[in-house]
Amino acid sequence: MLLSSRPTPAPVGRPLAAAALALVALLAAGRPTHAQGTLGAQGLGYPPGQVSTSALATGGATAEFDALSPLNEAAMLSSPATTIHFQYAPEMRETSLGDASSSSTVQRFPVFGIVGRVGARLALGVHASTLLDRSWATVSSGQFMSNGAVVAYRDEVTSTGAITDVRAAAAWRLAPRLGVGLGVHVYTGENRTEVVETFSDPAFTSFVQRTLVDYNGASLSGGVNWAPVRQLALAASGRAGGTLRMNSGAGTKLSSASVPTRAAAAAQYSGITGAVLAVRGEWQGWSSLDDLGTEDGLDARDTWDLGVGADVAGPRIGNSAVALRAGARLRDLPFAVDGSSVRETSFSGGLGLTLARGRVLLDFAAQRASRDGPADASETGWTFSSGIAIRP
Amino acid sequence: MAFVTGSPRRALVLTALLVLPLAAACSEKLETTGTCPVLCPDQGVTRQESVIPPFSVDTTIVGIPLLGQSMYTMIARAGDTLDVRGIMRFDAPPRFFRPSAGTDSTAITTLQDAFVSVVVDRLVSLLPAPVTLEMYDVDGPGSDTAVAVLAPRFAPERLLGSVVAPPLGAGDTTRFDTLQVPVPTAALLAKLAADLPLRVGLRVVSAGDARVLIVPGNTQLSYDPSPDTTIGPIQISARSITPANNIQQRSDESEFTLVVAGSPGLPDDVEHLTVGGLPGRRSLLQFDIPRAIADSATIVRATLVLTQTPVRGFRALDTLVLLPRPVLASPEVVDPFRLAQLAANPFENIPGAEQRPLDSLRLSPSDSGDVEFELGRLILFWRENVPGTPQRAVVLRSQLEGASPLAVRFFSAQATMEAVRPRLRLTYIPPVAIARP
Repeated sequence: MLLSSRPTPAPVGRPLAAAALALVALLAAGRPTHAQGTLGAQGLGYPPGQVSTSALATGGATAEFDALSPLNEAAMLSSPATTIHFQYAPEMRETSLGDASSSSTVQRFPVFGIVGRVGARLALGVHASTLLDRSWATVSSGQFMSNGAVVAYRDEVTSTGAITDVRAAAAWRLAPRLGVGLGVHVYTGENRTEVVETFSDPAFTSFVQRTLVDYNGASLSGGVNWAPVRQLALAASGRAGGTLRMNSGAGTKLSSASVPTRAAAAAQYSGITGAVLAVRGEWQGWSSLDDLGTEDGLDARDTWDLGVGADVAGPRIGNSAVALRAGARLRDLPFAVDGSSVRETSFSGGLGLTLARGRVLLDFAAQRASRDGPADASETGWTFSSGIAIRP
Repeated sequence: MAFVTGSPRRALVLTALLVLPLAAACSEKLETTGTCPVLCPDQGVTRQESVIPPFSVDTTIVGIPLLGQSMYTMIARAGDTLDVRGIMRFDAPPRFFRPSAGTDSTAITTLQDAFVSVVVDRLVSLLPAPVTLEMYDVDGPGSDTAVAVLAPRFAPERLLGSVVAPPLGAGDTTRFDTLQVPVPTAALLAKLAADLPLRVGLRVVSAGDARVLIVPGNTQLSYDPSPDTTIGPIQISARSITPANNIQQRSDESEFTLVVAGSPGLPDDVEHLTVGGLPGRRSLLQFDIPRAIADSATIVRATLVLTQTPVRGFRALDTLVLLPRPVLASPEVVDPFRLAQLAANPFENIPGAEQRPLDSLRLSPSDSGDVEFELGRLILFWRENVPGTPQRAVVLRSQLEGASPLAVRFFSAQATMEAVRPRLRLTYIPPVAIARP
């Protein structure tokens, strides 16, 4: 709905080139991930949230109405034309444990997809989004006694990869203010882990262990958007059913678990000229993933995600207004540390630019997150998200 | 604000400014510690140590290298205990020569001179004083490699000639020296006329211990059939023409070491493993690592501990370089002698590769006590370079095997005293259960 509410700009040319340059810069910036012993990346990884850059800027509050966020299928009806979009969202974070702290940078490409319109009432879309990002690395060192001598060791443990949620969805406008949608999800992805231990004593050879696991699974989802009055829109969405399997690199099934059930509801108020206010709540039954881990390995817990945000028309560039966004979010992360849940509080802001007569949409967001875990562990992070949407 | 009524150019500037934080995030590359192990569950690398009796087989293989396959042809003498001689065969010396260009070849009827030349590696020889090398005609009927047949032919009536090898003086680093042992022309002419081979034997005559190591392949017979200085002498390398049906054996028997009396103090009993000596000995060690460790854990250190027992009869300063070498045979090979032969440095001819999969050790035969061999790189070699099930076996050999009387002995797994039996000290790491948290 926010996308469709943007005014169409006029000039074509340099802004389009600028968008292309920005995209090239984003793509060229890709580097391996680096993360270490963090609060966010426990268990099977960190859930980026499956929200677009614009929704992230509003604390996730507008995600249920956002065609680019693959959460509510009915929201695809808000896209006025076929749209291809791509998102890049690196996070720089600092984790503290007592007096010690460590910094890391995680690079993510959390959402990309395409939404197409077929007539006025039907929208179809395919999205790929990161469900859980398990990219991190830790470095630790120490000493041990061997045959009466002290030997120093250094451990480097690396995990890369993610569980990706690929959703094919259709949305149908039942009435001018009522849309519904259904989605089929396929889960894919892999985790590559590497453990390397090296020793100060040349009599030792290095220990290297490389492991690959991959995932597959499926589930169904649905959503509804309803505007009972002109200034108010309501939305609800959910995901249920299906199984997620973890397999070894050789294809042997290691474990399986139910795909976490998800239920969300949101409201959006546009009664103030040039402004949209939104609030959203979501529950996810992550604890079902406990069966995916070892008997005492995962400590997955059900989570709540609450967000509130605003999107207002800001100053104009050319014939388009810059969308200014802000939001706040409070959520739990699915995997506990040392028996304690990890809670994330974040504040975010951003803006959106419409270029090339509405053919190019650029969104930027910055999110400051704070995470609290066990007594003396905490984490802060900056996520700088950028998204580009092109309507060919 | 400046961009309230701005142009697309301002949009470009704004976009560039917004991209900057993203670029900054890309440039980050940080490595810190401090949050492990509390925030690093499931990453525990646990090291375990175990000392095991290592072998399914440990045995001494006598007779390696085979006849003629030593890296040197050794001629040695040590009192009354060691007597090693060299045999060189010139089985087909040319009997004709061409007196001048364009003429037919003609039978050799006169010789200006004749000699056998050998190249001595002085740095590995033991030449504390001048020694005499005597050369004998050892050709005759009967088994042509048997000590019992050949040794009596080193008799005064068969003496062909001799030469004195100079000692290796202090500071002398000249490695190779060519010695020429004269051959009586009449004796050689008689051989040529009768179409007989010239087979010679060399032995050392010395007041003290002496070892002369001859570089095989460089031994030549030279004889000059013409006084015409424009016609060069005939030079031929050692070559055997028997046995007719085995080209490898012919090559090996062209020049070989004849051990008349071998290294002293080397009884071949099951309680000991012997390496080196004359005739050459290798020790074959076949490892029996528990499956629980070999199949699932990663061995990061493997130390083989052998207890050395002294070998008497050598000088205190004498040392032997011991080379552990992995067996490179396929699992189908089970014959210990064959396994002991098929041991080599697998990286020897690979440029840039690790040249020493296992460290060599310099040992004195007269020493005793525990000797440790680090086999970690061998374990790594088995793990990474050998598909399937490798022969988990090591051969201990001497660097100068077949060319040095020195030997070292260790207690074997059959030793009466358990404390001196071989043992393998392993440090290993079980799999880290990190993929499935």
